[in-house]
Amino acid sequence: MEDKYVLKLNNLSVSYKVYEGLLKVIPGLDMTVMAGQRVGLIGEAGCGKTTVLKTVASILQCPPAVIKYDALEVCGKKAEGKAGVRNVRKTVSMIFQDPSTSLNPTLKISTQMSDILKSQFPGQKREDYQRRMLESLQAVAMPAPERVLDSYPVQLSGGMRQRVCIAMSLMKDSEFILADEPTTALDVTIEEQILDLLDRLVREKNKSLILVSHALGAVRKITERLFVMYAGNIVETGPTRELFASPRHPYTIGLLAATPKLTGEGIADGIEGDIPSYLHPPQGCRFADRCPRKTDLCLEKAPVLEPVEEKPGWYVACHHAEGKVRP
Amino acid sequence: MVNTVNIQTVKKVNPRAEAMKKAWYKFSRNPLSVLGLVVVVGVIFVAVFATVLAPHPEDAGLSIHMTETFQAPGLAHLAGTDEYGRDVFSRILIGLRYSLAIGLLVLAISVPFGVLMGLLAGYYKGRLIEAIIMRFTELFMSIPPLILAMVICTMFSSKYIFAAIGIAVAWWPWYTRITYNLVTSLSNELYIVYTQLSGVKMMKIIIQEMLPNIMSPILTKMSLDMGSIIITASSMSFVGLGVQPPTPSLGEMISSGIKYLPNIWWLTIMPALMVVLVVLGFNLLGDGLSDVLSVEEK
Amino acid sequence: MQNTFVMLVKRAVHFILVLMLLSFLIFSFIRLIPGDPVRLSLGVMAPEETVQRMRHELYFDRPLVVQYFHWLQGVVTKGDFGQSLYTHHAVSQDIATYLPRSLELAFYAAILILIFGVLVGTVSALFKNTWIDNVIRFLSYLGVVTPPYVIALFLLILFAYTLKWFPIGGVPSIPEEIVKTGMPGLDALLAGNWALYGKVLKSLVLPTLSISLGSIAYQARIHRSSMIENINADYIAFARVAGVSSTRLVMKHMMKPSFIPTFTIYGLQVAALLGNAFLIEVIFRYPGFSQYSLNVILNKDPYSIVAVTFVFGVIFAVVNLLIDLGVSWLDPRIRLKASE
Repeated sequence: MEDKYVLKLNNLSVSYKVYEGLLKVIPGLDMTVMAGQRVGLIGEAGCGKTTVLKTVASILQCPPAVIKYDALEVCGKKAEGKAGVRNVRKTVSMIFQDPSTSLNPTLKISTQMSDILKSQFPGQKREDYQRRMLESLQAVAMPAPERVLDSYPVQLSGGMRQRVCIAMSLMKDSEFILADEPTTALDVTIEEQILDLLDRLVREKNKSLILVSHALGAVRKITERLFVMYAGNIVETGPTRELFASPRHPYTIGLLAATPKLTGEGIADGIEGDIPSYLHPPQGCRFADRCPRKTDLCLEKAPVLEPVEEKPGWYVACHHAEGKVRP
Repeated sequence: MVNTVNIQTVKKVNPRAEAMKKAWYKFSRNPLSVLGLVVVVGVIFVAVFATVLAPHPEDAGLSIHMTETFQAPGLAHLAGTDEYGRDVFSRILIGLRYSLAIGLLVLAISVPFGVLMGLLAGYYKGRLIEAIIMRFTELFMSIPPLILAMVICTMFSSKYIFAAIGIAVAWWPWYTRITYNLVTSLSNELYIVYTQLSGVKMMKIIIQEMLPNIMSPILTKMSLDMGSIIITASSMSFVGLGVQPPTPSLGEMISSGIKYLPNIWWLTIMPALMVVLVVLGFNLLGDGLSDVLSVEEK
Repeated sequence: MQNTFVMLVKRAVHFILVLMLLSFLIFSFIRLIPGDPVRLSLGVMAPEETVQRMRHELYFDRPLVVQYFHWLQGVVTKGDFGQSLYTHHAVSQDIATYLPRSLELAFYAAILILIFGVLVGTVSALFKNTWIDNVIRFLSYLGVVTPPYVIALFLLILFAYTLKWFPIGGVPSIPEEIVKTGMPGLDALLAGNWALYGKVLKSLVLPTLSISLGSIAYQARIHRSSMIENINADYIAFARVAGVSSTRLVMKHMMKPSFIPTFTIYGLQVAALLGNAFLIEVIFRYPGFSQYSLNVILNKDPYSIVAVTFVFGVIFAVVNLLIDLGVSWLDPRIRLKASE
């Protein structure tokens, strides 16, 4: 069980062709997720989180994106060739950012749900499909599931739509769920409910999860492992709790400090500046411009992920991080 | 996610010139748009210099060469000759001139009038004048343009200037509608609302802020419409409305050639091909423009 | 349901006002033009007395408003559109003779446009940027820019003159005793005369193709682009990862939302069919309503012109109403908003 991977991604690079030139969004990214593991992926807007998830789910629109990787393996299926990509797509489920655009506005909820069942488990009776749809809506704690089934998305509130989306993405037998900021488009009051629900369902069914979210508290509670992304790179990864307690990368330190604390330590400090241009990315460290620890070395040479001393599974990509194993 | 990435351009230049350069780059990248531009420029050139370029300019009128009737296309007569021995190629070139002239005339009448009406309706939104203009627009749009144009044209005179007026009467409502829609949607834009709240007169806003904004969709529509107007005009001259014989017009040449089908095919097919070429050119150009100016046809 | 009814009534009232305005406008035009339509119809040789009597009978010697309301009264009470000076029949009788023929032609064209427009557009969208798509796009571009009468000429030369598969024009005459609807094909069918129906169909093939090919091309372009817009939609990506099979995804999840713009354009195309049929009916010598309209317009036949524009106005309004009903049925967002 321990050494079974659900995701193995080696040297992913994604760029977009635009008029101004080539946007080198993701220069080279590695990521692994073990079976049954719940993983968080954090970073500010525009750093490439959605691009990574869509690549994993094999639904990134090809042109104008140029996607390259040495290996992509999801639940033992290799994404090689068209058939491989299709196999990968079968093994993952994904929950999107905005529930108001992820449901088809012209079809009833019952149609959208039953089409998944009919495609995944063909040849069953009408009543069986109906029963399963009701069950999956009850599983996401949906009030009045019969009425919801008979509704169009436009008749449901944002929170209800996201519950429907979660129910739909759990309908097929996938071991691996990708949740792309499932609460960003929702009310703060509903955020916790939805994330708790997701957490419970994933644990109950022993699925693996990548959760992208700006709700750092929830990420801390739900996930076991954390990836921190900045400008298309993973800058730090390690066990969630320890990483939250003592982040090593200056970006992670800034990012975690940027969340307002309930204890009332005043307004959080943001990080000065913006993500660098993807058109002409700096040749050295992409964070150097905003980094308090910047030296000449940072401008010349991009840092790579290196293990942190005596902390298994903890890596950081910074020339000046504390406690790094010196080569 | 990726859409929100800021794209920083390296050099700061005049934004307008930069936009033009970018538009031209996008336009020139599409070979079909360029082809459209080449065809349109070529057709206009040929039409302007028709009398110089035509090998037999005198055949535009009532000349008769009894020894040369019904000659098939060949080196002597590129598109053959008709029942009077006239050179079809020369007649096509001169007919082309009338087709383009009628197209320009229609646009010259209907675009300013239509845009003005649209601006008025948008300016007097919620008042009687808006209701009147928009009802008339609906009224004129509910009859097929060809019928309206023919009714108007026959009532006055079948001369080609009246054919143009007839088509223009059928055409202006489309420009009123598009202008009105653009003005209405712009009125809801925040910056227009703020300008208005700052005490700037609506008329001034329309002229300074809105007019430049609606120019590009209108320009695109004009290019696309040129083709439709030429088709309409040629359909009218097909039944004898518009340019009067012996002056050649593409539609009349086609219709009078039908009785010689199928053996004397060039009398119909040659002018028909010219109509297709001209319309193709204006459509390709219009599509290219709409791509570049990213206008959505509503 | 009640809202739909209110909407229908509102639309009908609005539409009647537009039609009245339209007919009044045409009347004014006719009265304004130089020349006497009655004199024109009877010819220069007719005695002045006859012309005067006819002018009186047709209300041409009364003020415009009186003439108009007399005409309107006839239309409302008796369905009488006046007298044609060109065919010398009652205009309503002429319409009953000519309109059904064109409607049958338009019916076949409308079916072809729907089926092939959607089919070709879908194939083109699914094979986006492959050679199949490029060939389709090239052909549909050509179809859009080629005027229907040029298409008609090419079809005529190729299939009628050269290959001789179809007649060069006309329509088989329908025996007087079986004429019920005035639509040649339908009458043959109702009489159970399959051989005659076959003949009628054969004569209708080229005219139908001529008026529909351009519209099919346009429809395919519209459907292609709205399909492509949907291929990139979030809800398609979501349904795909959630496990909906490709067939269902294309035939249902993509097709239904794409069909909304397609349907709107389709309605406008169908409304324009009769207007586009003018030269086609002339070229194929098909005795339909468009050809009749053309003749009355060219002969400045006042009452018929008013009636002809009236009929086109009615067709346009009815089709628009059907489009709105269809779109609100297809798009729950509109339907549910209306019922709030």
